[in-house]
Amino acid sequence: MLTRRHRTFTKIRSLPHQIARHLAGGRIQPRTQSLASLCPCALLPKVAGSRRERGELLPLLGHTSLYAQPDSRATRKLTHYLIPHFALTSNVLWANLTLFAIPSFLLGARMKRNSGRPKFARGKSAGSTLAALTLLTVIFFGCLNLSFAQLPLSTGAPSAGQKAPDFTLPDRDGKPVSLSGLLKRKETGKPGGLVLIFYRGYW
Amino acid sequence: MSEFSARGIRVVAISVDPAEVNRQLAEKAGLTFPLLADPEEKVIRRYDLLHIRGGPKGVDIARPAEFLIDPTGTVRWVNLTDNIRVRASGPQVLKVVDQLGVGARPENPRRAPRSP
Repeated sequence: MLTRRHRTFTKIRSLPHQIARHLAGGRIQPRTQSLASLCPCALLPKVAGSRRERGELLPLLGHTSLYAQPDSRATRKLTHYLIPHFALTSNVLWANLTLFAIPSFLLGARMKRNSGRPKFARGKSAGSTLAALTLLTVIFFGCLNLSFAQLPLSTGAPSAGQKAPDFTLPDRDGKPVSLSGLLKRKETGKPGGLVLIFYRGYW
Repeated sequence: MSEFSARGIRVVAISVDPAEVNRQLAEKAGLTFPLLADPEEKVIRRYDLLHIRGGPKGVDIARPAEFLIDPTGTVRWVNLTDNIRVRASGPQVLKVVDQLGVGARPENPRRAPRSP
């Protein structure tokens, strides 16, 4: 049943949604001009009313935010073109997990509400599908991160006070560079020093 | 980086990547310090930093570590992180450098730029 508010909102259309509606043969409800109309959920059947549409957006946000982990080598090649890296804390996935927890809670609330009126909620399961997909992705990447976390003890590494073993290695132009050469005093006469960084490689 | 050279400190990075990859990386990221190639892991083993099957497809790589070495060749500070995502940042290492007194005092202290 269309309310007056809904009729007002149908006058505002967005271009992506018009295309989506055309592709789907006009079976999709007109929507409010919200952020949700910019995302692929435009192709999903929607309930009339803006509040529920915004609720559909959150699981998708939570899902795509998983790909925003910086430093995660497995995801970087896959998804670095999808969205820019957010400046989240790169150490723990707190922001990602929160972004997933909020839509899960909202979904739970909505499904509880919809269970009392099955006719009304027909075909509105996109959010729960997305949430399930997000959960699977979280578990998958959690396992990946755990497997990377086991580092060797490296008890043989030189500690403070020990002499650093000398070495000679080629630099990026193929010229050999030795540790003793690097530690020699610079021409300016300042006492030198060296920060030696070992990194994982495989860029 | 200029903060390091103001104190006479050089920075060098080592990994299992070969020289060509290092060249591309240095160009892409605009790195000015030398990237040394250790594909046979000789130096990585010598420093006991080998991470067996730690890389993609199960290759051996180096675990991340930072060493501060003074001009006599003695290690003054080591940072072996437990979490591969947590590395010592440029300003952090600079603080250690100043605390331990390695290298010269800079003439005019400026705000430390982000070290690559």
